Amino acid sequence: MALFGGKRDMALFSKINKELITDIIDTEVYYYKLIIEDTKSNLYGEGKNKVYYNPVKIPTLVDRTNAEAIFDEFGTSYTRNVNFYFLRDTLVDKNVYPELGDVIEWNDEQHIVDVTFQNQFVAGKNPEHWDGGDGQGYSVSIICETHVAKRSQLKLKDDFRVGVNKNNNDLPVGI
Amino acid sequence: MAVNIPIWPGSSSFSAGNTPFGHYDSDTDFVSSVDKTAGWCAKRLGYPIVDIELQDINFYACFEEATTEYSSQVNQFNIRENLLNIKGHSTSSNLSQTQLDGNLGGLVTLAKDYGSEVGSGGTITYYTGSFEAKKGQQIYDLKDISNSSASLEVGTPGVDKFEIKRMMHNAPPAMVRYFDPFVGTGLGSQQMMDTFGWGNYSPGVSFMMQPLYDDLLRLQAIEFNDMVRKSQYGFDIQNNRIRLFPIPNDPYTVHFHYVLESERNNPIVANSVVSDFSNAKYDRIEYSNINHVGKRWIEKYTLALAKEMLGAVRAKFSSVPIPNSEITLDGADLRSEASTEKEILISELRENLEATSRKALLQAQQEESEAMELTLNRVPRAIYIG
Repeated sequence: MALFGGKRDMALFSKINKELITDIIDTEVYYYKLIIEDTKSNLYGEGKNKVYYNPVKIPTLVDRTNAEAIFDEFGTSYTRNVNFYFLRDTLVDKNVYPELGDVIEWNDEQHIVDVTFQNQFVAGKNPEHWDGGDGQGYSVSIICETHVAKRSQLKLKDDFRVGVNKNNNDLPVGI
Repeated sequence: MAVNIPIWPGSSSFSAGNTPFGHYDSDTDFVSSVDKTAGWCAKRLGYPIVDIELQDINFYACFEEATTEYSSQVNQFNIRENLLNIKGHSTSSNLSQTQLDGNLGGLVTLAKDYGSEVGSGGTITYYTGSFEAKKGQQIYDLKDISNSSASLEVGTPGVDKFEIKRMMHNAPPAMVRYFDPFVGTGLGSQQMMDTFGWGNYSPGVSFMMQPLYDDLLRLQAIEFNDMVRKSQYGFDIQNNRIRLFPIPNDPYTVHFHYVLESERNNPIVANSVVSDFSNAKYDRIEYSNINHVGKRWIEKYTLALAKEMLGAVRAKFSSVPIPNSEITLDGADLRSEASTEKEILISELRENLEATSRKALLQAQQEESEAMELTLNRVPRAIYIG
């Protein structure tokens, strides 16, 4: 067993991260979890009316790029790539499992999750998959890379809402 | 998910056994202070604005260590101050917070060795020995019994090393020859006195009124005469050989006083008594017996220790990973500050202790007295007109 990277050390990291992200930085987003089972698709495999769980407020770190203007046959618009860096422990606490297609609302914008990954491991060990057991290492974060969606596309807000929010008590698959 | 290790929640409740050593767990004053001090330290470190990655037992350990450190510093000073006076004292009674006088016992013990050497008091026994002076033999080897027929009160000649401290081999006192007509000086009436059988009596029996200095000068003259004109009684001791003067004309016994070297070289004065710094009986001072000044020092030292401990926790890893980045905590700064604070507190305490030493207090009193005298000298003196 390695001398460093034990449970107590990792507990310290977890506490410091929670204090920093939750109490000090305190940037919160609303996380909309997509319910694939309840989302009906059309002839082309498109889910025109996506169904989401009620949003969950989650503290996170945000890194966003400048908006890029779009001029096409549909008119004028813009796009922006935004990365959300979640503390993995917080997601576990909130019972949220980020996946492709989920929506993150922040700064009055909706962001569709393009890809999620976790590859930040202390001492190079992911305690969930390390052969030596879960007493070593720490998976720090889950990163969600997103792009800004058009509001009318998602219909999450009441003013153009047509989608359905499901009760939050119904847990999504995978948690 | 990382295991949940609780940190300081904002309050604590002490119970016996929560300190590492348990020195003061039964001291009600300590028990009532430890939680308050823990809370104070946490707040001084930033709680509740920031988390303090310490537990209640960490603060308790700091508080106990601070109390012990204070006690240790005070006792160290007292041992330095009093060691000479308490050497030889029983190790069974605790001297902490006990008033001691500056007795001379230690000094006298040191001086006894000098007394032993000159035969005035001391701790070494002067034994009596003798050897037989033989007609015509001037030199005697005390290690060789066949040569000297030496006899010792304690020890065996030739086996035990001894040192002669006094030889009983002297000329007869000048006084007894005060009247000796053959002495070369003196009153010259000894023959007459001997005729009456009074020769060994003091000159007073001559019933002559003489000033005392006349007697002294006459006795001194007899001794000078013996020394200059005669073969004076005397001896030399070199190594084991004794050379007698004059060469004996008749056999007689020479007595002497001696000490055994084994006894003189024995450095042990006593066992199971205070002998040095390590067994001077200064035990831990009870927290409840420490005054406010001491308790305040303990609180501040507790804070410094807690800060040092927090620094150690935060500095175990040079950087802490956060999502997609990493941060550096203030562990090194905390440890540095704590180290400085501890050093200052210790120095301050030692300076205070030194300022209250016996020597310092006497000096201060002397200076105060002199200053007061100077001040009073400037008070105008009224001319008394009766």
